[in-house]
Amino acid sequence: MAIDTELRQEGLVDSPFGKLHKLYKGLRSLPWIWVSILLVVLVIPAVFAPFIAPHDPYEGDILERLAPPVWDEEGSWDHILGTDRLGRDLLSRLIYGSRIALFVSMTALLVSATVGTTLGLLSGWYGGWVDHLIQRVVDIKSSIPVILLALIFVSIFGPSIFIAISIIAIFLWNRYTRLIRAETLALRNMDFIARARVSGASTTRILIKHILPNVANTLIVLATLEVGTVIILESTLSFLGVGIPRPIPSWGVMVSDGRNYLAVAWWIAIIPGLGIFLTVLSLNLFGDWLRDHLDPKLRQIRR
Amino acid sequence: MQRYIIIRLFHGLIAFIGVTIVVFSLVRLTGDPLDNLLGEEDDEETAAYVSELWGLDRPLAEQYFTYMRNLSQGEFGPSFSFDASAAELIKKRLPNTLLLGGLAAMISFPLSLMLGVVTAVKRDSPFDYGGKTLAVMGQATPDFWIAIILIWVFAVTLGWLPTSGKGGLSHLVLPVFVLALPSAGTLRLMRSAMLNQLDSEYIKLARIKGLPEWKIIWKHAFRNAAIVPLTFLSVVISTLVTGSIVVETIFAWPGMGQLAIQAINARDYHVVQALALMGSVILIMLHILTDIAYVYADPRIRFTKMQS
Repeated sequence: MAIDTELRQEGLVDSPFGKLHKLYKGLRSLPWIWVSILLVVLVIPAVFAPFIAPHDPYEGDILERLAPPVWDEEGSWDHILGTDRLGRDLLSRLIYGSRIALFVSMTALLVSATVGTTLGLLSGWYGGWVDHLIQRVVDIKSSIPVILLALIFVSIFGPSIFIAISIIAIFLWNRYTRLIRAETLALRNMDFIARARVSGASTTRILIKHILPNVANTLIVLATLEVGTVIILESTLSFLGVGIPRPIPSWGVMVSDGRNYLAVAWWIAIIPGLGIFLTVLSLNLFGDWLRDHLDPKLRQIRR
Repeated sequence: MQRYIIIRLFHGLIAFIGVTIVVFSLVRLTGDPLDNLLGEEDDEETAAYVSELWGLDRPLAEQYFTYMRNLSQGEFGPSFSFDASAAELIKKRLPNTLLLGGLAAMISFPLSLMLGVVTAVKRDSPFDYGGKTLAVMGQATPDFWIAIILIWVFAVTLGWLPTSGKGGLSHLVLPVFVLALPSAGTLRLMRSAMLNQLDSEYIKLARIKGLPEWKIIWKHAFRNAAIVPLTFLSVVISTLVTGSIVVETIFAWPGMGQLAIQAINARDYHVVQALALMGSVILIMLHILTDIAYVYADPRIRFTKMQS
């Protein structure tokens, strides 16, 4: 068996894919790479947007419209990544866009994790009709295609950041419920819970002081792995015009803005998508690393 | 088995009623329902008609029964931006969406099963690693961005394919490809299921018995491994629903997804509602079907479910 593995490894060294995979494995065990990409693409621009952004993200100079990025022959350092059809600076809009991405994903995550965890705890702890009721709600939720639900919301209330966050939260809470419910079920009959009960602790106290800390790792890992999903969902909704309303610079909206200018100004649509890709890739790989270190038994929650 | 099917159908019915209650109360409980149901240019006559149709002057409970009776008769209300009823619009658009979604599913599902088997059998080969790298990258890429890159490269720059619209075969290539991409997740699932099977005792026995390798893989391991992606089928189909909205919008494909976005821009509530309900009914039915198929395919589960 050992020889077999060695032979496999040897054969691999020569192939380009093998090299790529070795690189990937190496990168995966170095979380600081992903963390620093996240800092550079997402967190730092989001926090310091007004100080970093070279131009106003809303005000454009119509004379400078569709200016190419700096590496193009006609590009200039004034607009490093070029401008869009209204002459707005793409880099500045990207920087402010990371603010939207971070704010929306964090809020949506907080809401969905809180709701989902609470329901999961209740469902696992009480069992019986409480469990049945919550499971039926989960059923109803998974039967509604979220984008269609988003459409109903938007057709009534119109698009807004608040609606976008609500939709994303509604979409994601049930994953927490499922995992936390399973863990609570396993913990419920353990000795330390029985002792807490004997010593007179109330149900609320047991759930918060004894069960919750024991499912915290699961919660952190799942939440980290979900941030990427949230960002993709938010940008998809915004791209379709049912998420973040214009002219707020969301990355999804920016890609949509550049759709009709691919022939003359490809950068408007392609560059913001690259931002989404880098952010989500780093988040996912960092999440994988976190899972391996905090809670390896969670392997099954990602394919 | 029968009992299980009945319970599943019952749960499906509860889910459907839940969906209708959500949709029903969203319109009735957030401000004046007529404001939500009508467009900006609608006159008194339309207002009276809509009010009559949904029984808006009656108590809420009675309104809900009127609502359910209308739905059961396929009456979703009038569209004010398209000058037709929502049901007619859907009937016209449905074949286009089914064509695109059907093609995508028929190509991607069998293909990812096959590739899953191949990557499992050729484990640790360059092919396997290539698949893994692509899977990791694919998970981080939004569909709409891939679609736009493909349009940019193959339609705008190279000029090989049309950018959008409905027409000959060449109009199908890009939309079907983008729509089929997300279901590639099945590939990884099939791979790990296949690895599990290849590692088991009965496969070793089959090898000792001297069965040819292709028979071991396709006749023994594949059959057992394919159960796992089967449960994933409902997830694949629900991503197809989401995906078709994105793809139809980008490629200007005259299907239900594009209709949904057009209706939303006109704030055409009746059409949006009809589409959401249709989508939900399809999803609920698929959930039930995959659950039943799963139980049917795996005797072990069939046995435990029958016990309970």
